[in-house]
Amino acid sequence: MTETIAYTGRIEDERLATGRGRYVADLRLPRLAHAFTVRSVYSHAKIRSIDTAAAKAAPGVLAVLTGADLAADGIGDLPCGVELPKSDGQKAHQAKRPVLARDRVRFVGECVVLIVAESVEQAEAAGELVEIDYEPLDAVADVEPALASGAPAVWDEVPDNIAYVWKKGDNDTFEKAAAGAAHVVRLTSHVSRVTACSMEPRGALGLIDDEGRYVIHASTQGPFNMRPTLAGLFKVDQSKVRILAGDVGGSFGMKSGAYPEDVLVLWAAKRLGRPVRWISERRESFLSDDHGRDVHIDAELALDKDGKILGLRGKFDVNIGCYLSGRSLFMIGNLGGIAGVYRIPTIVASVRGIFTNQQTSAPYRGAGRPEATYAIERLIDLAARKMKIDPYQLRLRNLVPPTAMPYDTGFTFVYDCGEFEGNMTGAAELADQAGFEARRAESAKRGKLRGLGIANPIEVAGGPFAKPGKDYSSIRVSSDGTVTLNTGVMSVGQGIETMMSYLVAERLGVSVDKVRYVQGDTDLLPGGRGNGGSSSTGVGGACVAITLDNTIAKGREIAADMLEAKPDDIEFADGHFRLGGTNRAVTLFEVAEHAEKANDDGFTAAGEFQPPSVTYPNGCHMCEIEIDPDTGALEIVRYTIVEDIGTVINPTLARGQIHGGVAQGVAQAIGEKLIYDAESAQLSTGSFMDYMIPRAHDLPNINIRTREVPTKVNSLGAKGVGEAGTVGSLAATINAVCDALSPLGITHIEMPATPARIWQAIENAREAKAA
Amino acid sequence: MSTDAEHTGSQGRSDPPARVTRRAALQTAASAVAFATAPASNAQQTGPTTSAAAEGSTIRLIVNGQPRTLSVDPRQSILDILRETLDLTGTKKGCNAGACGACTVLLNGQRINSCLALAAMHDGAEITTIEGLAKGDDLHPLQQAFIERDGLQCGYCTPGQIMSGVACISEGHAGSVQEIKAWMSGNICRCGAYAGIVEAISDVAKGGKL
Ligand code: FES
Ligand code: FES
Repeated sequence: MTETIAYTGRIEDERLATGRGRYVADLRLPRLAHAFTVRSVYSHAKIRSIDTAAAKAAPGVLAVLTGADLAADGIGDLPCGVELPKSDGQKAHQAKRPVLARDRVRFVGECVVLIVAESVEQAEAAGELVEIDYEPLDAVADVEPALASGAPAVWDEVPDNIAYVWKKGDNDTFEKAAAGAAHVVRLTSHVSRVTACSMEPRGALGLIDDEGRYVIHASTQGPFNMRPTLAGLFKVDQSKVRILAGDVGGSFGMKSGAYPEDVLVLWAAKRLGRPVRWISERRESFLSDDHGRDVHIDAELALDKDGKILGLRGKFDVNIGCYLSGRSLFMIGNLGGIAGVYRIPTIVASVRGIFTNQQTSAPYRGAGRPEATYAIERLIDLAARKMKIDPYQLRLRNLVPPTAMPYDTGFTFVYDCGEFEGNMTGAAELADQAGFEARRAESAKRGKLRGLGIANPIEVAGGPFAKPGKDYSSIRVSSDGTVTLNTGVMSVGQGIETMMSYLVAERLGVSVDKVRYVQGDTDLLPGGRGNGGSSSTGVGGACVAITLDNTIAKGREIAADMLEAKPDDIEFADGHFRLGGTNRAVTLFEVAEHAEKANDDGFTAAGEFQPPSVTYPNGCHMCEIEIDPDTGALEIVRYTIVEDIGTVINPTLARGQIHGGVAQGVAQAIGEKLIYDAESAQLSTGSFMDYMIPRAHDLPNINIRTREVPTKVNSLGAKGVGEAGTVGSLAATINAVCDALSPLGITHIEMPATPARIWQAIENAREAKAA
Repeated sequence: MSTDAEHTGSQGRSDPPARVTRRAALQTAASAVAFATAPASNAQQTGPTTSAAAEGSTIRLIVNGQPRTLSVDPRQSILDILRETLDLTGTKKGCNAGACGACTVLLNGQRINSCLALAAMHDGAEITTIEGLAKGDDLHPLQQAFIERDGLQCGYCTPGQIMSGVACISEGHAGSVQEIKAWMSGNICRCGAYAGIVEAISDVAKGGKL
């Protein structure tokens, strides 16, 4: 590698900071028509009839379409594909998400009627004229009522509302370990339902191109995933579908699948012969973006008298909402993280997906990883409290040492490397853990309660674990002096354009402004991972490194031809191919010119990378908070992270990812929650006024230190960073709150630890003491 | 720290009552909006409020220095005029309800949430959007500072953050990190780029480059 090029800020920033970003809503096309969807106002109801006559006659209206029209055009439901058994041992009911509800709606906000008009306002106004005759049904708004006997069934085919069951590990072994244990602690807790709330709402623009192909400009993080789904629904070959993703304004897992509205704009475009765009309104986002988390945990940890962990058992009930797909299984794929960074001789766990009358849930930043880490890290704190051992010490006693690497946790994951004690001692130093008791005493003098929470997250990245996904990339060196890079991974805010462009510039010895980065176009590559699973660097970046190797190898062949030498004798450095031991050299771009004259392809190379295994970013989070016991108000006074993300490619971008991840985890711990009315299953928190989104003053300053333990899984040594901040912060924050409240005898508080909830817990504790 | 900001934060953070009445929600909204658009009342004083509420009225605006004569529907917001009529798509719609700040522009030098401002009410107003901030190829100092401080990720909130930041500085509300955080609390960044946003505003405020 040549000398590192000085980093001068992200390449995409000049565009984004001047208002020249290209989000779906910013595209301008002639004859563009606008879509609006009429959504169910009931959480559970039969549709008796739909009257669209008045809407059809409204000004500017081009089409009013229902599920019956979809069926007439032969367009089916979004696929399910889940093979797991349900509680009776039979294969899961294929509870597919319809594009437009036909005879039954199952959540508030479900698309029922599509209206396309000349303007958004006209479409929306026509929406008011659609008459839908509903027959309301009883609804279930949460896991507990859904599992109660006699509960209304979300699907008649699944009377107990259990969509799937999954188990791993041997229960008898755990029982034996627990029987011989000095202590068994139990955590029953709920990791709340939240929503991604990307600042750019979902949106899609569908059109039929000159060749009759289905083309969609989508706000998505997974163009290559979307293509087969859409091709399947429209019954065309994948080559007849093109997905384009421009700038995407945040996604966080939520924009990773094809949504009904994506199908609708293409279908309408085909029917009308005009491009059609739909942009979500914020209230629609709250209702109809796939939700995240909502996992009910019941877990036990067994320890011997010295605090050595003997076994772990966890039961996880996931509120998957009303439809089932592969995206409903996030808790299973990433559950291995419950082993934490500890030696745990026996682990047994089960996951059940529970149907409710809520929007479907799906991966959200971390996707099961924060939930898994929360379970083990809360259990350790509960055990430490019970055994009167310092939580930091209890963790140290159980760590997997570096000498044990590679380490098989016995529960899915095999860690390739990691220095967990180093993370902890680093965090302790950075957080001035030694000075904490003095700070606690000082807070107490002011009548405040101070707490310190620790969490040691470890998460799987670049997966799925069983078979990591492949990424593709290609490079074209042009005689005009530019290098074009196409990647299968993509940025939805992470700065991947910058990271990749620097990789190319450094390796090829060209300046960064000569690199053209192209992402999110399914026409350009055979496939790609999109964004997700903390894989952009570790898989996508490593793939680009391979493509760069291939580019240089190809260049050596061409240069050999030009210099009348053997490729083996050609060296490449600083943008020049040189015949070894001579002054004879040609530049990268001269090679391109030569290649362009010789053949149509010119100087191009492609590469693909399927990692042999996954990686395991890990770290130690320390959260320090102060509570005003009179009001329950909570302030996060410092937040410290030591994170091993392997080799750090760009420290600025890594810091940004960790910051953003912590913001989302901390916010869930102290405020974010989607709340549904228990009876009607109506969403009570459907706007920024009711749903806590962290603002600048809600968040602490975060001290971050990276500790690089490079992985050998990919050539860059990178482990992945996108989810790291979130995975540890739920647990660290709740542990801190519980630590602060522990002098009052409070052992646990549920998230979100809002001032009201904290105040109530303090009041209850005081009353109990007085009684 | 402004009490308004505290209020906005704690409202957002607490569990909502089991049944949120529309009225209560609107009141909460109003308090958040009042803060996020603190200068709006001033703006209304400075911007001549005409009787232009009739159907299809014609108004004159100066947008990024250019005079524009527009016929507007009385229901159209400045945000919609900017994006849909003038094709100035840099200003973003994040909520259309005054709660996220993505649509922040300067109206007669004051920051407003353009999604809540009816265009017809602002005949004669001067509007600056993100597109009007740079001088030719020279970025505005705050745009430059956002880039240097990594104050953006997905970029969707960024135009609003920058416009709001410009006003935050000119209002004299950028004296400390705490003050900046409070006076920027009307602008949501879901990517959590707040550290860089606050640093960028602080840099420019300190440098007196505005
Ligand atoms: S779009 Fe105007 S404040 Fe959100
Ligand atoms: S940069 Fe994405 S919302 Fe702020």
